[in-house]
Amino acid sequence: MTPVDDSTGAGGAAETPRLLVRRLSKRYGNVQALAEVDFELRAGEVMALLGENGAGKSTLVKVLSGLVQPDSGTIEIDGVARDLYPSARSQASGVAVVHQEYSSVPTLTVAENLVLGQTGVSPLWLPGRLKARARTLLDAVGLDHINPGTLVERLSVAEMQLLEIARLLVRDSKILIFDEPTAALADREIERVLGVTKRLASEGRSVIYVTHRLPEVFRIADRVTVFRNGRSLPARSTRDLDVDAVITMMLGRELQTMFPKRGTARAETLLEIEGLQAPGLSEPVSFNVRAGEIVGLTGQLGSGASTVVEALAGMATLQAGRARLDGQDISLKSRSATLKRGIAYCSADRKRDGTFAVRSIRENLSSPWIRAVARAGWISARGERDRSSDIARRFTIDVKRMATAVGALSGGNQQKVAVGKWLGAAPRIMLLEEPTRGVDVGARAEIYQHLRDLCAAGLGIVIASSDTAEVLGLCDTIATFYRGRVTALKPHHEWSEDALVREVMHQEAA
Amino acid sequence: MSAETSAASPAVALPRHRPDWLLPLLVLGPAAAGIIIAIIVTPTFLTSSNILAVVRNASTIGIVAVAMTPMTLSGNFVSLGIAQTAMASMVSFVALLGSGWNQALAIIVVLIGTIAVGGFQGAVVGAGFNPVITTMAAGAIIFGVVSEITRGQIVNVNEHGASWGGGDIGGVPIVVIVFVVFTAIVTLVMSRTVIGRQTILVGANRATAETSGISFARVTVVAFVIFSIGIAIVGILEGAAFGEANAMSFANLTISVIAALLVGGTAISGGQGSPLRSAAGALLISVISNMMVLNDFTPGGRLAVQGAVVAAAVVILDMFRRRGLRR
Amino acid sequence: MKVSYFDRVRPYALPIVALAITWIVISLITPTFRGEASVYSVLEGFSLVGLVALGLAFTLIAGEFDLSVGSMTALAAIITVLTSEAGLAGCILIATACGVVFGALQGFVIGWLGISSLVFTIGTLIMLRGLTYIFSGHAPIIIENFEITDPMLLRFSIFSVSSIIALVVFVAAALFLAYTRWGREIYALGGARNEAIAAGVPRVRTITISFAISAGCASLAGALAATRGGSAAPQNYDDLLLRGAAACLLGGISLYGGRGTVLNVAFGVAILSVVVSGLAARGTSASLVQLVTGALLLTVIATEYLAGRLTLRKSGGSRRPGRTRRMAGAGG
Repeated sequence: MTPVDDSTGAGGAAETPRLLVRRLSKRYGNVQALAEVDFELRAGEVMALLGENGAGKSTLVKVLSGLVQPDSGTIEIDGVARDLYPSARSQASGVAVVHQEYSSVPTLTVAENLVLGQTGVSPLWLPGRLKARARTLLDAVGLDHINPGTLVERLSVAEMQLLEIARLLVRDSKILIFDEPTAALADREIERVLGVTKRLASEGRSVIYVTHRLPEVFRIADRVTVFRNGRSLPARSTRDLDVDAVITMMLGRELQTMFPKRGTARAETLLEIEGLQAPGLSEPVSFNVRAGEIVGLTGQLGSGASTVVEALAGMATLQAGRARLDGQDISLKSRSATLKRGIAYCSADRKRDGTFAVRSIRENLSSPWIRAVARAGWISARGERDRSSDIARRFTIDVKRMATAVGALSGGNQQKVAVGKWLGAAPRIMLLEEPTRGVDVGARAEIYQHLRDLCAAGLGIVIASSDTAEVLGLCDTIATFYRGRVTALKPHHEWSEDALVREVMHQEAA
Repeated sequence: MSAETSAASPAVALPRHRPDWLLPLLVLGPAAAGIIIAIIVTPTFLTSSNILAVVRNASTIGIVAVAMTPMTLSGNFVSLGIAQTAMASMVSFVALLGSGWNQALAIIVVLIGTIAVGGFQGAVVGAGFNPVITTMAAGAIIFGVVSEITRGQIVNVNEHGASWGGGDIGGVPIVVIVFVVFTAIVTLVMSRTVIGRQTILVGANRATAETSGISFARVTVVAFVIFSIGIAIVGILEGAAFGEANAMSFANLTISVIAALLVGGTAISGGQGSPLRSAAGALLISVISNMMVLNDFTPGGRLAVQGAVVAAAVVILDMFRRRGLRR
Repeated sequence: MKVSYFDRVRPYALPIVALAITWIVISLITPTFRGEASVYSVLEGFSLVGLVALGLAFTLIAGEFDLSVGSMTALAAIITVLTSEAGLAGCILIATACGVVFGALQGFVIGWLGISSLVFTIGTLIMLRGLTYIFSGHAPIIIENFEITDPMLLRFSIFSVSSIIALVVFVAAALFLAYTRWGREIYALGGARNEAIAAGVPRVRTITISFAISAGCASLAGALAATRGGSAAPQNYDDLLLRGAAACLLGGISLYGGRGTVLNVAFGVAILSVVVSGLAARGTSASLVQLVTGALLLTVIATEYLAGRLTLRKSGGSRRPGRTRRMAGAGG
């Protein structure tokens, strides 16, 4: 817990803060993403932004980077009130963001990507000139071994992340936002990122460092702001805190009431997974799922939890491993193979592959089981209507609106459709990734109840979620993942939220 | 970012639903108004012989447009080999008849042949090849093959005429009856069968369809088969009606069919639309075309107008769709 | 990670080999396709199919698809004949300028509205063909004054006036695409559209430029052909789109956008030219040549598809959201 070197802005409150956010609010349908948030950032300081998923960190970042407009509240930069929407205005106001998803064009070279979209560059992009420009930036982030003429698609994930940071350095931004910059990096590369961050702060720029990794927080940040349930706690200096204190600040949600009572899992094993290996896993993964049991796999971004679920769904390239359902070997080679075995799958991105946005609720709900209500290929309209209305009622989707296009629904309702449609397909196993992402509290509770009901009917459920509270409240058995391997596998009563959070962040207990 | 942005939806949580009939109305409405005006200006339109010609023409275009609709619905855009395939069917049928083949047998052979050629393209596209390039290349190959075999000559049925092609039942031309029946069948298949539902879902979102166990490859092959059946029907009927054919037959069919499909309101990106709309579009295109002929538009003028109609339809329909569904 | 000489040559390995093989095969089966005459006819191909393919490549690289190029060529040929009184350079410039203006308009509409260029250009291809018939009076038209077009018949060993002009345009295009911001932005839009726009690449301007150049090249091709032949017919060039697309794909331009250089187009044009000229020298009919072109096209996309599958398998095939490949002309 070495305190950070006293950076220039960590002192006096008399100075005008670089960034001052007051009573910022943002609501999405039923979800209050930000509730009267106050946030302050001083010149030359590194501010760590912590909080569980859904606590409001990403929404704040989106507001600051101009991707989203707040409902109310004020933002001041260096004492001047600003409107940071849309992103061009945010950039012009001196805000630069390194997102979790990269914004470089893979078919162009490193040097070209560093110049792309920049103003004030000559229209003649001669290789020599571009490379010279690129060289200084690359060296600054520790990419000195990279030839600027390399195509970006040939870089490793870590190198691409560092390239994102290099792009930031081009602009003269005073406020830098790093959104989980080290999620995909190895230790040596993390060092580089931390070094770059320190240097940027010492130049007088302010850095908002969004992360889940506590060790980095204590190495790099001057202060910490913790988000909880859409609200922000007052910022505290890292010198006054330790890991335990931070964890305590992050936890403490009184949401026990939203989780249904657990049932009793049956004795027999439904699904056996043995020696699973796929890109994204550093060690083979093995575990079992019993009938009536919900198994939770939890970890940070890139920990491997979602890779396991994808592999079980047949959506990943399996390198090794076997799976047995009811004692019988099953193939995980393709989605159709796993589907035949009664394995339902809901990915983390319902818009990409969970719903048919332009089609009606009814057609979405019936999509996996339409054959079951058809005879000789002819759909029974009544059969479809009855079964889908039944599902809709159970998931409290208004049956009068069954003809509405799913894309027009709220996030919670869309997720209910994405999950609920499997109900009619009588699955044996349900696989879900981030089952309540972007879903309001009410809908969350409903989804949890339905999952529990499914279990009572004898299903086995595997959930990959980065929401530790959700995993702890809902699941019967919990496996924690870190850097592509299982670090612990214990029944729910052997976990406390404190221990779970620590395990996921790879922290030793105090 | 994608999962997070799914949390962003309109501030009011009420789902909005645009009625399904609004979209075609936007296009067909003003078009109908324009037609009524044109009819008033062109008295020769409303003669029975002219209306018969229009309906006949609409039927030929319509059968193919309806047959191609599943392909478009599944997200496979359009086929650029329509004219050549229809021509090949027609030439084959006429040639077989001219060589003395039994008519029923000739029909079966042409049907199977066309389905084989189309099904092959479907398999190729279903495997992931670009549908536009594939059908364009296939069309060139088909054209080349038929040209070589016929050596540019006109093929004739000689004395083995099949006058039923141009005939009628109770005053209604055969081709029109086939058009109506075919449209009904394909519309029912698309709206009431499993394969039809799967076709439209695949076009709506291929990734979601995959996770739900719907096979894009299978849907594509079926779509191409339906398309081939429609083309074969048209080739056979026209072959029977005219009694002769050559490599230049159906030269303008591709343009008219694509125009009919687009004007009818089926989304080119897939997932929305119906064969019934394509049938309406064929009727509209045929009327517009006829209107232009009666008003002494030159062939070039007619082409120019058709092209403008297609371009305008694409723009209007696309803009409308984007406003309608805010994602 | 050094970018070695080998890395620079590798993208062209396949087209080079294909060109060599094709040349050898055609030379063997066509006795008249030898020496200077063969090179000359291949270079002649650059001034028609070559320019069209070059323009088409601009839109393909941008992730779009300009299907109207064939009709544009026909229209430009007609315009050239109609304005032939302005002199050789004059009528060529006028026709090309018309093309550039139309292309820019087309590109602007497509870029601004974000619609599918594939379908929109089906509409304009029909419309332009209609205009071609209208302007020509539905009949072939000829340039009465032979003196205007005489210079086009000059020949300098393996070059002609048109092929020299075409090659100059090729070089200019290559420099533009490789070394200017606007050129690289075309690659950006095609290679990763969402990321490019997020980085600040102007979508409307870039697409407008690509389509303007596409139509400009197609028009130049038509103008050169009309002055070479001294006439233009409204029904000409209906298979030019097929040949242009074949040349692009044969040379290695990707249908997914963002990849391929002018050198790729040049190789593709050369390969196609060898095949077409060689077959024509043997008296092969136009329809059979079309057949061969179609077959070549299918072979190429099959190869690109298989190659794509192999690399996907090697890289572990993990799904990374946000980088799905767009098909050319899909819109957005």
